Amino acid sequence: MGPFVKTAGMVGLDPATGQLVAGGAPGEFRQILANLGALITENGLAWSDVMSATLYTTVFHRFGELNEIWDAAFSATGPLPARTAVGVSQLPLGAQIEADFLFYSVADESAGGERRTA
Amino acid sequence: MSKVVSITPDAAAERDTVPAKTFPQLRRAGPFVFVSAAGIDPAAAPRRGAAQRGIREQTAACIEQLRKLLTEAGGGIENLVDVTSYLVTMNDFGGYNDIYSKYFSPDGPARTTVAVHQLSHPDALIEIRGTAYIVENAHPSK
Repeated sequence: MGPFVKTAGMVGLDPATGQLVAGGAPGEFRQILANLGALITENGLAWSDVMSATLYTTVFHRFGELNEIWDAAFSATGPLPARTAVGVSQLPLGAQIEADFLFYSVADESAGGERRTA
Repeated sequence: MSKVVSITPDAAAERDTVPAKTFPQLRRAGPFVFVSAAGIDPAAAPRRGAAQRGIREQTAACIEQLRKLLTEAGGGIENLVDVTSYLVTMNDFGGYNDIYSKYFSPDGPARTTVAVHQLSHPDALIEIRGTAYIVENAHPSK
């Protein structure tokens, strides 16, 4: 609403098949971030508009790998979002990681809330 | 404005974790300030000490950390509009509530509390993240 855009909780679904990708948490996380990138493009947003992210994972002991993937996605793309990560016991579809993202973008306010197209 | 934090190497060494290079403790979006989950301060509480600290002390430490960050952002915990608390066991709910209620009245921020499986610091019993509404320039000295 207004300048805020909130994603649903995203798991690592391949957009072509609708199935959870292989590779466990790292593969799923790469897919989530790829899907996020597509969402950013489709909605005329920018990586730097991501204000806040929440990560839920069933494999917190692999968080080192997940952080490397995170860093690769966000480094050199501007300010980083506030982030919260917690370990959970179960996620939908047997996923090992789920993430949601909150964007703040005021670039389109003069357009009455309509999103710019990229 | 944004400060950068990374998980302490000593905490990370205990687990198979490599800290993320950077993520900010807070991020401002217009009048809204998003605060990454605040937990026990590893610098102020070395691991052995932290392990001995119960839910009451850790809850207070989290809220004090939020206070510190929000003060630096030109506001305070009274500016919080929404908080999410992550416990590792609902057995701690009572102690957490006792301390929480010393800081926040019933008309305080909207609150969600859940118990999760694990938190990033191995000795952490609680982390709290929040969203504050702080109108910029409301505190001209900042």
